[in-house]
Amino acid sequence: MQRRTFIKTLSYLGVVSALPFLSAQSFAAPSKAISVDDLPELTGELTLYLGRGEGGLYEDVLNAIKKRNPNFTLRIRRGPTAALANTIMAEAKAGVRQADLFWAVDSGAIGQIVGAGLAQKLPNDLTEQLQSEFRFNDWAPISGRIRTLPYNPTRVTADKVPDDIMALPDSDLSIAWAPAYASFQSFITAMRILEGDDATTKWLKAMNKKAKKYAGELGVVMAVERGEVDVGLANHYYTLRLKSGKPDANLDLAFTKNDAGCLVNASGILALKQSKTATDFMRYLLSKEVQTYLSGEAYEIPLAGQLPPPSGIPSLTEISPPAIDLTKLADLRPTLVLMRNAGVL
Amino acid sequence: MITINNLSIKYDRTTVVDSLNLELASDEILMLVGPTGCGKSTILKALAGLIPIADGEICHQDWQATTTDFIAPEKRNVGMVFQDFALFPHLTVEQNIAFRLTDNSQADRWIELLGLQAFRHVKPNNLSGGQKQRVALARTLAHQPAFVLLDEPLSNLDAALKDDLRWEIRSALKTAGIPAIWVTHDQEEALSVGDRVGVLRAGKLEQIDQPERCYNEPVNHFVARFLGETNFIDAEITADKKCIIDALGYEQVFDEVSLLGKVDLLLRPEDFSVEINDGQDAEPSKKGEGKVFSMRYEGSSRLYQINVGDNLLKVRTRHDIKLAEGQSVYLKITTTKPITVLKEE
Amino acid sequence: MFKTLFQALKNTLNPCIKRWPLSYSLSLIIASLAFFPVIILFTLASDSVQMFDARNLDILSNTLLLMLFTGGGAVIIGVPLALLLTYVNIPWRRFWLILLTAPLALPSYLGAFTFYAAFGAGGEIENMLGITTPAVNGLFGSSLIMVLYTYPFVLLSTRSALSSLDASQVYAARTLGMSLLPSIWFVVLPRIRNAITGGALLAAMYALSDFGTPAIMGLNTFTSEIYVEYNAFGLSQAAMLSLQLLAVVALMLYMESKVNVSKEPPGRHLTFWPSPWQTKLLLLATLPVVIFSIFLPLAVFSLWLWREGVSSFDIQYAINSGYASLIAAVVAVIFALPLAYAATKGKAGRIMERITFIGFGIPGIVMGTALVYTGLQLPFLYQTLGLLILAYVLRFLPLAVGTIRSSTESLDGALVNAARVLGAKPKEAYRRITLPLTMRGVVAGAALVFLEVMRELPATLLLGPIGFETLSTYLWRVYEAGYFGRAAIPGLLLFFISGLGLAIMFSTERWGSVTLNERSSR
Repeated sequence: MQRRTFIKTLSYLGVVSALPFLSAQSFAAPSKAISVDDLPELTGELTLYLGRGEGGLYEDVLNAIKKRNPNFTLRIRRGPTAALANTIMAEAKAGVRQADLFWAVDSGAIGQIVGAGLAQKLPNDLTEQLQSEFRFNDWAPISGRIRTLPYNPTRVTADKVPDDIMALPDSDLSIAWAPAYASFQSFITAMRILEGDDATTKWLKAMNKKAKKYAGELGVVMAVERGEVDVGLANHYYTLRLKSGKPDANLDLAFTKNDAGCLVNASGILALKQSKTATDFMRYLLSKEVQTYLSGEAYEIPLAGQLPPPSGIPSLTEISPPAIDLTKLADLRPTLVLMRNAGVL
Repeated sequence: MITINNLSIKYDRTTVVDSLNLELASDEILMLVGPTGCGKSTILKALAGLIPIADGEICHQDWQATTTDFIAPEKRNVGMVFQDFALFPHLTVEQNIAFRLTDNSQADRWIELLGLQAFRHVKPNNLSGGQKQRVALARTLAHQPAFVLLDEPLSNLDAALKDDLRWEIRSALKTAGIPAIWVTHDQEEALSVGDRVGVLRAGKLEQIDQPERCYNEPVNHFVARFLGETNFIDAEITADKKCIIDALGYEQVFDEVSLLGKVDLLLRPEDFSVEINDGQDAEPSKKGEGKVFSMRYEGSSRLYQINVGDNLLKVRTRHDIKLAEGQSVYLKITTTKPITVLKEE
Repeated sequence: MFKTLFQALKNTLNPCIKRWPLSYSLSLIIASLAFFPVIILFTLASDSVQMFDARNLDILSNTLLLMLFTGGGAVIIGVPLALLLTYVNIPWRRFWLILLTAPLALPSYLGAFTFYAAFGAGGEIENMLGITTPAVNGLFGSSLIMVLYTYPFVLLSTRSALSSLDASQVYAARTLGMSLLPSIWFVVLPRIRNAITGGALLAAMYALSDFGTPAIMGLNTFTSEIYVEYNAFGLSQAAMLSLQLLAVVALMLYMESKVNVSKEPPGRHLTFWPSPWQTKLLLLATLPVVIFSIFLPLAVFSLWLWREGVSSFDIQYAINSGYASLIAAVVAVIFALPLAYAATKGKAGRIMERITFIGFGIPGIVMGTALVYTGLQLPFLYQTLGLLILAYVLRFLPLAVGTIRSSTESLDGALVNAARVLGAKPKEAYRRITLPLTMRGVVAGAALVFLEVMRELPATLLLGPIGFETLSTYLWRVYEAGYFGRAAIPGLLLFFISGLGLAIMFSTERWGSVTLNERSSR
C-alpha cells in the first residue's frame, strides 16, 4: 500500500528527469563542491522525518536521489517541524526509534534533538564541506535563509528603508510582521544575543505600536505586495517565490547590515541512528547538484561547496550577516517571555 | 401461579410499594386499582423485571426474583400490555405480533381472533387507538406468556370502545387460559372484569377480595370510597349491639359487630328508598325527613343529594321518580344485605 | 489510575442497579481509551514551569467570543437548512443534503486563506472584477469562516432529530391558530433542543481547537498561544495551556448536559409541498452558503492553478482519504453505540460519555502529539493504518456519540420494555428496536466522523504509515510551500470523495428506519 503510493508519487513527478545531476557532464566542478558522481552508491533503507510541508521541491531532490540509487529505499514522514521533533522525543522515551534521519526546516528543532543527546556525531569530512561558520559536530545545515525587509517599490523607495534593524521603528514606514512565526522568533533570539534584552524589549514595544500582525511570513509578503503596508519582516525566499509566480509583483528586497535583521538561519539534517547510508545520504544533500537545485528552484541559499546564492539576492559575502552560533537560537524560552512582556505575543 | 412476598420498591429514597403480599391463581384475572401514584404500575414493572426491587421476593414456578437475584424480563416469560401500546413504529402489525416467534401460527390465530386481518401489513402509526390495543394484546398473547400484565390498557381509549374492548380482553385472556394482573384506576372496570380486586393506597394493599366483597364489605373508608359512591352516617352501637341512627329513626341489632360506641355506617346510594312528604299523613313520630338538595340524571337512574339533619346523603332512585329541588321527602334504609360498620374516620 | 476511575464510576451508580450492564463495561474501556491522551497531557504538563498567566485571561475572552459566535452562527445556518432538508419536499433532496454537508470536509484554514486572498483591497475579487470588497478578518472573519465550516455539525444532528419527530403536535398548534413559523419555533425546536445544542457544542469545540483560521484572520486566541508554545518546543507548557482550555470545555459539557428533552415515540414527520417557485426560492436561499463555503475556495484555487500551471497529483491520495475516513467512521460508530446507550442508562454512563468529548476541544497538534504517546504504548501497531484509525476514532468519537445519544435519548423507553417482556434479551432489544429507530442518528454520527477525518491533519501526519498521503496532508504540503494552485484539484476531489462517502452512508439510512406507509394513508 504505502509502497505503491510512493512509487506512484515518483512516476507523477515529471520534474525528476529535468534534474541537472542526472546528466552529470553539464557541470564543471568548482573548488570544494562535491558532485554526486563522486559519492558512493546508497544501499538499504532509510526512514526520513522531513520537517516541512514542501510541495514538491524537496520531493524532487529526494526522488532524484532515489532514482540514482536503485538499491536504496527512502521512507519519508512529513510533518510540522516542531511536531516531528516532539514525535522523535516521544519515540526516544518509549524506546522506539523509527527515524534514521531528521531534516528540519528550523535550526531550533535541530537544537532540541541535539540537546536531548539523540543526534549522532558526523564524520569530519562531511562537516568540512560546509562553510566554516556552518560546521557542527552532530548536525549538518543544508540550506540557508536570510532575514530580509521586503518592500513595495510603488509605495517606498529602497533608500527609505533603513539599513539598521534597530532603526526600523523610528522610520515613518508602515510595517507588516508575523511574531508567531518560528523564523521571526529565531530572529528575536539573535537580536537578544546581539543587542541585549533591554534593547530588544524596547525595539519590540516600539514596533508593536506601528506594525500590523500577520499569521505567517507569506502573509507578510503578500500584504506588502498588495500595498497594505510599505515594508515587512520576512525570510527571503517568500519574496522570491511570490515573484516567480508573479514576475510583475510590486515587491523588492532590502537588507540591513551586521545585525539580527539579516540573520542567516539554516535548515539542517541530523542522524538518529549511526549508519553509513545515513551519512552518505547527507552527503548527497550537500552535493553541488542538490545545493544548486535548492537554490535555483526553492530560492534557498547553498551552504556547501561555495556555490552562488539564488538569483535575486546578493551573495552571503555581500550582505554582511551577523556572526552568531546557530545552535544558540534554540534557546527560545527567554525570547518568548520577552515577547510576551512586550505585548507582542 | 405467582406469589409476591413482602415486596417493597423504592425510587431513590422514596418507598413506592411497601411490603406487598399477593398471590395470583393459575387462571384468574386480578384487578389492581388505586388512585394515581398509588404504585400500581410500579408493581407491574417490578413483576416484569423492568425495575429492581428493594425488598421481598417474586416467585413463579420457574423462577424466583429477589433483591439480589434479579431475573431479566426476557427470562420471566411474562406478557405486558402497555398504556400507550408500545407498538414498534418501524414494524408492521404482523411483524409486531410475531416479534419473537419462529412459528407464525400463534400470530395468525390472534390476528384472526382479534379481527386484525385487514391490517397485517400496516404500520402502527396508521391505526386507530382500538386497533392499536388489539395489536398490542395479540402481540402479547401470541408469545404465549405464563402470565400477563396489563397496565391501564384502556385508559387511552374512548368510552364507547372501552366497554367492548374490556370484554374482548377478558374473553381473550380466558380463551388463552393465562392468568393476568390488570391495573386500572377505573372502579367500574375493576369490579366488572376481574375475578378478584386489590385496592392499593400509597403503595400498600388495603384489601384484596372478590369484587362483591370489596364493594359491599370494604375494610375502610378509602376502599369504600374508591369503589363507589358512599354515605358515611354517624351511628352509635350500644353495649347490647344495637345500632341507632337517630336522624333516620333507624334501630337494628347487629349480631356480628365487634365495634361499639361511635361508628360510621356505610350506605350506598341504592341502599335507600325515598318517599315524598306530601304533608298529608303527617306522623310526628315518622323519622328520616329530608329536603332534596340536587339531582343528577343518569339515564337509567337518578342520583339525588338529600339533606337529612346534618347529613347530605346521596340517594339513587329509579329514573321515573322525579323530585323537585327543595322537595320534602322521607328517607328509609331498605337494603337487605348486612350494613358495613366502620370505625369513625 | 484506571482502577480508581473505575471505582469512582461504580460508586456513582444508582444503588438500585445491582448489575453492571454490558454497555457500561464496554463504555468504560472505550472512555478510558479516549481519555488516555488527556492523561498523557497531564503527565506532559507536569513538567511545566508556569501554572497560569494573567495574560491568558485576555486572550480567553477572544476565544470565548469566537466559540459563542461560531456556535450561534452554526445554529442560525444549520437549523433552517435542516428544516428545509427534512420537511420540505424539494427535488434531489439527497444531493442537496450532501452538497450542504460537504463543507465539513474542507480544512477551515484553507477556507480562511481563500477568504483572506479573495477579499479586501488588492484581493483576487478586486483583481478579477475591479470591485473593492471589505477585508474579512479579525473576530468577525474568524467567526464567519468557522461558521461556514462547522454548521454541518448542527445541520446533521438537527436533521436526525427532526426526521423522527412526530408532526401531530405541529398540526395541533396550527389548528389552535398558530401560524407555521411560530409553531415550528414553539412546538418543533424545543423538542429537539438537545440535538441543536449538541451540534452547536461541537461547532464551538471545533472553534476552540482550531488554530489556522484565527491565525490567518489575525485574531489572537488561546489556541494561538498554545501553538506559539508548541512551536517554540514548549510541549509541556502547550500541554498545560491545553489543559486550561479543558476548563472551558468542561463548563460547556456541563451546560450541554443540562439540556433535556422529554421522551416521545417516533412518528411521521411534517412534509411541506411548496409550489415550484417557492422551491426555487428556498434553494436560492442556500446559495450564499454553497458559494462561500465551497465555490469560493475552489474558484480561488482554480484561479491560481490557471496562473501557476497544472502540476502532478496522485489519485491514490484521494483513495487513501476516502477509505481511511470510511473505516474510521464505521469503527467510531461501533465504539460510540455502547457509550451513547450507556449515557441514557444512568449517571455513570453519562459521565463516561462526557469523558470522550474532552479530547475534541484540545488543539489538534497537541492532541496529535498526545496520540503519538498513546500510540507508542502499542509499539507493534505504531505508525500503522490500524493505529491511525484508532487515533481518528479516539479524536472524533464525540461526533458520533453526540448524535447517536441525542436520538437514543428521545426514544420512548416503553418500546424497549415491550421487547424485553416479549422475551428479547437486552442485546436483541437493542438490535431490533433501539438501533433501527435511531438509525438516522447513527448515520449522522458516521457522516460527521467521516468528514472530520477527511480534513484531519496532525494525527495523519504523525501516526499514519510511512508514505501514507491523504488529500488533507497533500493540501497542507502545498499550502505550506505556497503552491496554492496545486490545492485546486485535491480541493475539488475532497468535496467529490466526501460526497461519495456521504452518498453511501445516507443510503444505509433506510435500513429499518421509520418509513410510515405514507402512501397507504394518503
